[in-house]
Amino acid sequence: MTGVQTNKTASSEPCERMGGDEQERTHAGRPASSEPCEGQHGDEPTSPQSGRTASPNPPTRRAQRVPADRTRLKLAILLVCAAAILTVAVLAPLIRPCDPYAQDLGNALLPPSSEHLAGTDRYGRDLFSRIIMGAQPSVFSTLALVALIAATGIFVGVLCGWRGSKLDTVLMRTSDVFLAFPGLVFALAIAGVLGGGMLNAVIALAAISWPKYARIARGLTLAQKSEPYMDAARLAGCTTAQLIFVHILPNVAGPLLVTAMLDIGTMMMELSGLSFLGLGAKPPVAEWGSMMAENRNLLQTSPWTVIAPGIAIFVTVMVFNLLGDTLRDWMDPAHRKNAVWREGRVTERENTVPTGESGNPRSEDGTPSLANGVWKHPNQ
Amino acid sequence: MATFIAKRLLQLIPILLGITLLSFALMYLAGGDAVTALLENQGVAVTQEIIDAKRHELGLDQPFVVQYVRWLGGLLSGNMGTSYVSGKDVFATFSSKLPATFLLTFASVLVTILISVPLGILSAVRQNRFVDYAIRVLSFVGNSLPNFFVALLLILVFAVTLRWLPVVSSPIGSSGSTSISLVGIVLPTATLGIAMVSKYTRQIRATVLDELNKPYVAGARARGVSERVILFRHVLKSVMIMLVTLLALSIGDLLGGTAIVESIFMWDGVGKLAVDSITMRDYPMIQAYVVWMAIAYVIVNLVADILYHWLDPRVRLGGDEA
Amino acid sequence: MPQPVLTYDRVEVSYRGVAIVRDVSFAVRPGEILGIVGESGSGKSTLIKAAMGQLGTDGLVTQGDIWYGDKSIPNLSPQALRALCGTDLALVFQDCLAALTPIRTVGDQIHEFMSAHRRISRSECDQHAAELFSQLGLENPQQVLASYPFELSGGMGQRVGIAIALMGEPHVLLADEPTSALDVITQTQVIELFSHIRDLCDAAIVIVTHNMGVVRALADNVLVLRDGMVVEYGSTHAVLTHPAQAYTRQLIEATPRLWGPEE
Repeated sequence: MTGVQTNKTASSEPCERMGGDEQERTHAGRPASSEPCEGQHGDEPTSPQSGRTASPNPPTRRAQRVPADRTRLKLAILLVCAAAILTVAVLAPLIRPCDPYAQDLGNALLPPSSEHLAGTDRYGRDLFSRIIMGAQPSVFSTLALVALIAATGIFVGVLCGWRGSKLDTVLMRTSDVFLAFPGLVFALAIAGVLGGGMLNAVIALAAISWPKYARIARGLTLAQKSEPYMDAARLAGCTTAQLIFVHILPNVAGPLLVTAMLDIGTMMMELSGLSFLGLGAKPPVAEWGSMMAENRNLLQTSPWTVIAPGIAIFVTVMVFNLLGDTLRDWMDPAHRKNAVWREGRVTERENTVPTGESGNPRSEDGTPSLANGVWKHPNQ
Repeated sequence: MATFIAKRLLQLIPILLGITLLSFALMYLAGGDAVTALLENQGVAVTQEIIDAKRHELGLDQPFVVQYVRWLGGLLSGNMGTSYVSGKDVFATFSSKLPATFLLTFASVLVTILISVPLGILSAVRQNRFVDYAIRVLSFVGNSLPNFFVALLLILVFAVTLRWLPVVSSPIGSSGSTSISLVGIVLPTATLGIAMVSKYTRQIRATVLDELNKPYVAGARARGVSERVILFRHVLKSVMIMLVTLLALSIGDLLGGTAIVESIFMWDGVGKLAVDSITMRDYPMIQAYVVWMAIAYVIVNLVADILYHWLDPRVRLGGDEA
Repeated sequence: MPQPVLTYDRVEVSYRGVAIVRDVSFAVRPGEILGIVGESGSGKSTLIKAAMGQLGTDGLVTQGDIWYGDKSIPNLSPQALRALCGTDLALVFQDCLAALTPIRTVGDQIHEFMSAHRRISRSECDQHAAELFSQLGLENPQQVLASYPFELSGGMGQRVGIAIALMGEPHVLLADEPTSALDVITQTQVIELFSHIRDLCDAAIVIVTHNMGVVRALADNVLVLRDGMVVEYGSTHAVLTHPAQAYTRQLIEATPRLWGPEE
């Protein structure tokens, strides 16, 4: 093992070179020329004995592509979309073009046209209007469901995490039992027993979904409870209520909110699934899942009767799923810390380098730093 | 290892008891409604006296605990009562439908693993390139489509329009035919597979990316180990461990999700049986469904737990459960 | 004087478009120990990683070159780079145990990376490794080879890490804060190890540390880094006795003295 390099000749000089190699450097990057370049001294750039300076040639440059962060933009767009959906749901009775319940058998099963944007169903009802009206049960029930689950989960979870002991064990074992049931199975059973209807479907799904949130909330509460700042607050004289509401809940609410947003899509699909099976909304209520069910045997002849409500579910679920994802990305601490590459923002690092008048970095007492390429190896 | 398994089995008992209690409570809640349904199904005119008589006959007027214990006893000896609808033995009917569901579950899981593992890894290794974006978009769409919509779309495209595949299939031994319809399994498997592949691909991608950022990968790279070796000999094992956990959860979901898919495709498994029973208010059958599915789910989780401990040497050699 | 084996020529390293290290130039000769000193966040680890091409997808040497012989490391293809890493260039991590896969034994992993560079049988590999382990003060080398990383202590781990680095007979040995994760006693032992290595082989050694004491004990030359820029570069004796910059003086005064072999 000698470590001695053989002739490091001028062929290794950084000669005139195309700048701006892309970051994905898959090419082998040997120096372009193998002869001494113009104006080169014959030694390598690091000839310490002779006390030479670095090569007078400008250093090689490589460009780095940095994709701009579009999270905030995405978030804004998605919030607008979600708001649009909610608005449609709220204003449905006002903005629907036709009466969703008005039957017109003469015009039954018309394909989509300019008059009936989604066509008509077997009773001649305008599908587009029914879909708009369907937003109400579909969207509101889902939101109510998620809110119910989150509220129950937080309540039980924080209670268990805070109190601990027997209550904790009992409740957690109970949630274990609920968790043991594969989701839809139990919801089907409960909904079946309770009879149909959206309310019962919501109750059924809530009953099997709260354990997940309870576990998360409990875990977060336990983590927060052992943080040093909690001891400090306690010593400072905070009451239990203050400790819970002011300190724990905000920390618990954040991740749970994200989980809830991500679950909206899933819950909507499960809820409409129950309706599809006949255990949710009952006709003639327009609800996307039950609409698909009642038109199921028309699939071959009049597919739009099934596809249109399906698309409605799909679009809504997609918007909320995307929103949940983007929200999670946005709230991710790693993401926030790395946001140095927002355009126009100066980073911490740049701020601390003192600059001289010409903008060149200088060291504290004003002497030119080793930035000018003038340096010597210590052993000279 | 043996003590670990034993401990786990012991923990199962209270959970199983809880499950059976809940299932039974369901039936109890239904109360008179169940009896009415029974009588109506049998075509008997319903009056209050007849209801009461039937209730007494079925022992439904006993206190809750007594009924529960009796039912539990019956359960343990394999007697789950008779169907309100068909009058046949619940246990027998139920078990005859299980193989079909298992077949579908097995096929879906197989397809899912075969597709999502390569896609997930590919997506992670080519992060932020076109392949990655394409896979992510497809996964996302797959996650946002309700499974019944996918089913109907598949039927529309493949069965109705293209006429490549039959809509309805008869799996094992139903209506005289004893051959397994392999063609008929394609669409239901595809339906279940699409949803699962979408979910798994995202998870696998996230796990692989996570692993690739860990210090040991940097260490291996600094030692000159090739990316392929890093991926397949180091990262993949961690992915497998995570996959086991995911599968356990999914099998639980699958057993529930098959209810919708089995109904749509008329796949004669326990899912379809459940939906039919619920629609016809065949409460003993519903109970049987709930209990069996829960037990299966719990057992699957136990097996997954054991596998997990066996695969991860840190846990195994560390002595205790992680 | 032998030619330098590793040279940084006006190197700038950026992460996601932000320059972490700017205009750094130095050279290391065979048998020389260079200490790179700076506070946390000064970019010293980045500097070292750049030499191994281990900057990840977010990092890039946006300016300048790192010369190993006549090869410019940032310009190398991944395959060419991989051929160098582990053999010509070796890296000792701050936490060597974390740099090993948790689910496979030490012996497995040593054989794996050695096989990536040349054909070598498992027994030959184990034997070589065991020799190095003994030389570095690890008792019971066979047991170490058969262990999983989590079964080893911190001090053992660092020795294993150094041994792994030496197995490829590198010309350049880079160490990223090799003592920072250790208690004081083990630190001293590892420092002695490094001077032992200098006697064993002719590699150029670069040690990155925030501890001036380590530099004083081991390094021939020292480079002081502050916020990504070189503040001092000279022989240890010169810099420590007559630091040119106030910052360096602060660093020296802030460090408790270590009992190093050079004292």
